[in-house]
Amino acid sequence: MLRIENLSVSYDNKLAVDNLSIYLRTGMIYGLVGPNGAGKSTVIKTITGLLPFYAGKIYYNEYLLKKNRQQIRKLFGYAPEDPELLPYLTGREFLSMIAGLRQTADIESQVHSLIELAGLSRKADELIKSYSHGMRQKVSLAGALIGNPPFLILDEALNGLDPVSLYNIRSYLQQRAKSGAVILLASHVLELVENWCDRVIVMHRGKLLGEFDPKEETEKPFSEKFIELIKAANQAE
Amino acid sequence: MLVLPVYLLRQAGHARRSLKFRTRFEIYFFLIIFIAFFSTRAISLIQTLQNDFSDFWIARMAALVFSLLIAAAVPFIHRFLFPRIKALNLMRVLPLQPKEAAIFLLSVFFRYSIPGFLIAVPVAVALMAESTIVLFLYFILIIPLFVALMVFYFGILAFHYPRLYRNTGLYFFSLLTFGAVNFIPVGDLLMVVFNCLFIIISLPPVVGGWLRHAEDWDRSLQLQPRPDSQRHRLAAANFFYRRAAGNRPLRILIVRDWLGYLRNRAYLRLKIGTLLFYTVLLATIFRQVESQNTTVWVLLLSVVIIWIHYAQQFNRKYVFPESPWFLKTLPVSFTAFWLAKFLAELVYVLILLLIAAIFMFLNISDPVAAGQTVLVLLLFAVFVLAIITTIRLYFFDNPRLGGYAYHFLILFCLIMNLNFYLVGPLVTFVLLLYLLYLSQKEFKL
Repeated sequence: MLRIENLSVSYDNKLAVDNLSIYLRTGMIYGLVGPNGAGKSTVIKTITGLLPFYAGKIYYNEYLLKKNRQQIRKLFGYAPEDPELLPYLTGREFLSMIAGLRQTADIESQVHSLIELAGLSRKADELIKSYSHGMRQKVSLAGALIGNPPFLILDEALNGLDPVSLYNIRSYLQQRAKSGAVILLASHVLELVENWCDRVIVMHRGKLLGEFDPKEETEKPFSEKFIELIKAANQAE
Repeated sequence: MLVLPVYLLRQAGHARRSLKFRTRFEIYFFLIIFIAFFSTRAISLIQTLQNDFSDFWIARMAALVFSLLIAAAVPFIHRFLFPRIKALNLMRVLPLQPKEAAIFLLSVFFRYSIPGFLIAVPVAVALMAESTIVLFLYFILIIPLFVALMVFYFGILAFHYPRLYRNTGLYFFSLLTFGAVNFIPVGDLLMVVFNCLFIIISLPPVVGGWLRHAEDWDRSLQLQPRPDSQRHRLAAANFFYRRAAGNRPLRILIVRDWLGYLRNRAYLRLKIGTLLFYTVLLATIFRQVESQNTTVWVLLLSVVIIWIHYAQQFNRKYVFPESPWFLKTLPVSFTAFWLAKFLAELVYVLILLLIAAIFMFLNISDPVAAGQTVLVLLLFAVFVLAIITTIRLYFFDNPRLGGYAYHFLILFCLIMNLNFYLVGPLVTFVLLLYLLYLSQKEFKL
């Protein structure tokens, strides 16, 4: 499980995340949604160790982030929103490198299967600098999946992917969740979150608005509920 | 179309203004160095002329200075100004006729020749006052150079634009001219022959009207599929990479940095250029400087070369900034990152020092003194690399800022060590440790 307790993050003298507490259980895919500036990326960057935080606790299983950074780095795979990859490596080399750094066993077959999964076979041996944005996104995503980490954190990492790759990746993520992984998926595409996730966490201006089951049978679809929720939160302020 | 030259003349000002502060600073800095160099040469020239005064000598020296100035200026025009002339894009967009293209190219050429004329005219007047024969000799020596340059520009503009600024031909041309006139005793004569040959070689593309086809030719090159050899090259490196990936993170990171360097053509050009430049300057020192002063000169040259060369580590053209997610989310230690960056660059430093050592041991009679000099240089190089590596990791997402910090630190440490024998090294050491601590802290966050 991934547990966040009373997390507060601020930068540029602005409170970006305010006293956030969430609990992510194993075997589930979680979506993190909210309008622009809600604090989704800040939460993701904080739990991956990219941003410092001044209050709260983050646990990966029994490991506390502030004290066990090196151990925790082995536990999660992270795909950023805008991946800056090394332009002078090929896609295959990049993935081999990540696999090597993660001390993964059987690098070659893992890399090969992830290249197939992401639909990179045709360009895997060309330099990354010749890749389109979507191709880079695929490489970054495949890099996060290497070594089957028990925690997968994807920050808008599915934007710009083609439908076939999206289908393959969805099946793969569902399998990973079934085998006990915790998957956190930040996105502003409601349809994607609604269809892919078991639970959806809604944020607004750094605060938690609620946690929902998007597949719950109610009168209104989740996307409508979400919009009403945001409107209500705006009015309340 | 005849309005083009007027437009281009206006562009000269724009081009100058479009240069960034750092670029302008570099140009002025090197200009000052060259002027200082020629001033010292002028003093020895006057002394020589007092002993051996002849018309040919005056013409020879005047032409020499002029050609050196041209050779020095050409790379700057080539590297900084040409890529910034937006008007040159017209050659890609407008279907220019050969005549129009010729007017266009002439305008470009003469615009950048104006400083050359400004230098040449007062010299010519002064020489004419001395003797008409001297003036005549002077023109015989410099006119081929001018014409060769002009034809050369025509050639490269016609055939290599838009890859103009990546073309290394002009650098070699400048280097050869420089070498020919400076190092070979009959350099003037060789320079004239060299330039004449150059004219003969470069003339057909212009006269043959190939300008019109240059664009099609260029486009057809772009449409060609990637040659198989390139894929093979990548596949070969891939195999190498997979073997490395099975081992420790340090080895993987070194291979990663190496591949990043070796596949970056700009980086390779920088390395090869520096190596050639350093070797030529070392040869000059051992040829021109009196033997008791060579050690000091080699030390000074090496320190400046290592310092300036490694400043390029903060240029995005040569080295890409590290992504925060790569540094902070992968299970790799700070030490592995630091050592990988340090060791990947150390090889080149060792090559530079090997060249210096060869020159030293061949030319200095006392091998102990030569060894000591090389050791001092090695220490300095390791010190500079340590600073660079630490700063690169500290300013991993902002190389420009890292570059400023690097220059400041090197200057600070040099001044401290040269002026305060005990306190200086101590302060330097503490400063480096503190910087290392900061980098490590930033890494761990």
